[in-house]
Amino acid sequence: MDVHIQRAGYESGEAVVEEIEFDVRPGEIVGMIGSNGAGKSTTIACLTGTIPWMQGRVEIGRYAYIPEQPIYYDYLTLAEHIALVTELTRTEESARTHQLLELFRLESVQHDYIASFSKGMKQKAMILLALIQEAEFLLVDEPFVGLDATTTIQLLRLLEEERRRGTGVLLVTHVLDTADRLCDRFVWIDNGRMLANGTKQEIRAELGTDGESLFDMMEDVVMR
Amino acid sequence: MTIRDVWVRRVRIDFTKRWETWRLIFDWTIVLYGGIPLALFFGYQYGLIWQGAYPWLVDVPMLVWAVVFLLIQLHDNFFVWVERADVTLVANRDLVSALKRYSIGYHVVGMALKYTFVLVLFAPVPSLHGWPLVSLFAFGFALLFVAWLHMWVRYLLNMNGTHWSLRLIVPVVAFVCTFALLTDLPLLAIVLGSGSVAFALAAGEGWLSRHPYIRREVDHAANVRTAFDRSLLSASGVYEKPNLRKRPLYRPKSNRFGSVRRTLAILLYIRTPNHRNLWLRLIPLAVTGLLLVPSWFKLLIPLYIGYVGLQERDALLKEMERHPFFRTTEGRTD
Repeated sequence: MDVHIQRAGYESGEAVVEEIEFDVRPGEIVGMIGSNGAGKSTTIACLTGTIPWMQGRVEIGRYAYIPEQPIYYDYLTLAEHIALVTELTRTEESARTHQLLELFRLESVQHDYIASFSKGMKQKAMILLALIQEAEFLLVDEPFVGLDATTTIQLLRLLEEERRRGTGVLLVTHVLDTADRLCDRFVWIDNGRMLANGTKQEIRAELGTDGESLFDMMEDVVMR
Repeated sequence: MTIRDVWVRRVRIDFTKRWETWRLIFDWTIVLYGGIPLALFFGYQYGLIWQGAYPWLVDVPMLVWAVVFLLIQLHDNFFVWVERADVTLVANRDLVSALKRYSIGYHVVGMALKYTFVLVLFAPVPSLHGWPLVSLFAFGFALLFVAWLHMWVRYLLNMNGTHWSLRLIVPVVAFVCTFALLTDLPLLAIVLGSGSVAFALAAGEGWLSRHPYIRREVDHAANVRTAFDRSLLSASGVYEKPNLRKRPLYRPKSNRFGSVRRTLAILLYIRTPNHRNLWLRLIPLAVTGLLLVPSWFKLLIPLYIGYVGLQERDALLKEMERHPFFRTTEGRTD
């Protein structure tokens, strides 16, 4: 995944994000961090091609996207969603699907409408629908919101597993501790621009901070 | 589960919802006392037009008919049957392309039905002008074509975010084209029509395969599909989405009928289907009764209506005592 966004926004000529450049290589997890309204979700919209106006270039292979808010069809059951996704991505309903259904405890409700699920179950359904695609890249937008501790741990393990499988993961998150533990590199977005990009050591050098963790670095930068 | 299955289910559910909305407004008594008599009346008048009972229709200038057609065309709104999930669940855009193809088919069928109906209504006018049947058919096809071009180009320009001055040209061209067809200026119609076709082809190039404005298309589809429900509910002040607009379009003043309590009472009364529908069926019944009942027996009808009115007033006052709105406004005099 190679991203070179010069300017992008929701109205023509009104840039919300500018000069954002980064890449995600297969088999690594890149964390996209930044405060509320920094432009993280807009950057994701550039990657998924849903931004109305963009100048720049995005090269991305076959990807799957886990949105921040669950987005699904009100009139389809989970099993029908799975059938549709496998049909569209030309994959086969494999043992992995059943394994994920079992892992997320969604087996018994797979013939129910997703609309009738609780918030956490909806989020789990979104994760499942993305993972069964076996895509080259995973775009994960704030995945831990609404998940219980068990599912969060399961998701972290699944992301690790995806990394081992060779999937490139772009993880957008506010949870700095988790990002710190999980990600290989970071893209730090602030006020619609890229503040820093690289490993923790590179970011530390670039921003001239001596913070040990991401949290310390952010605290240091914010307090300046 | 194929793309076609998803689309069919989506359209079926949308139609069911629309039907439910209409049923909310018209119950069978309203159809019986209002809809059927009106349909019979207008059907009879339509028959009279064919028999030449309205000769002044010949004197109506074609410009007026062109304006009428323009007003009808302005109500044509193209949209793609896409939802947010279509662009989120999978990166593959085959789904969106297929939905765009299905949407074109849907709108072609819809417009063909609509303009056939419009043409049937309009047919007596050209027949009074002495048009042969072949000319009427030719006009019908040309009108459908112009309406399609108008709707299609307007949609593309809207999605592209084109400047309003350019978008304004589209209805103007459609209007002139229709006027040219009505006043037998085929050359002008052909020149404008072929120009529009060329423009539509250029503007729509790659629309099926590339989707740069997909987010706008999704929002537009949602807006068009819920337009009727929103116009019904937002006018009543019940439904408001502050996240979609900075200021509410319509916010009723709390005491627009004199006082808060009176305003609430009137709004509650006319928005309650039982109360509202009672009058919607009683009024046509009373009018029919006044026409049919002989001599001084007619007096019984206003007496009966007054009696029902008093009963309704008592019933509403009892409802008001129980209703939480009125309990909260107890003692308010504004």
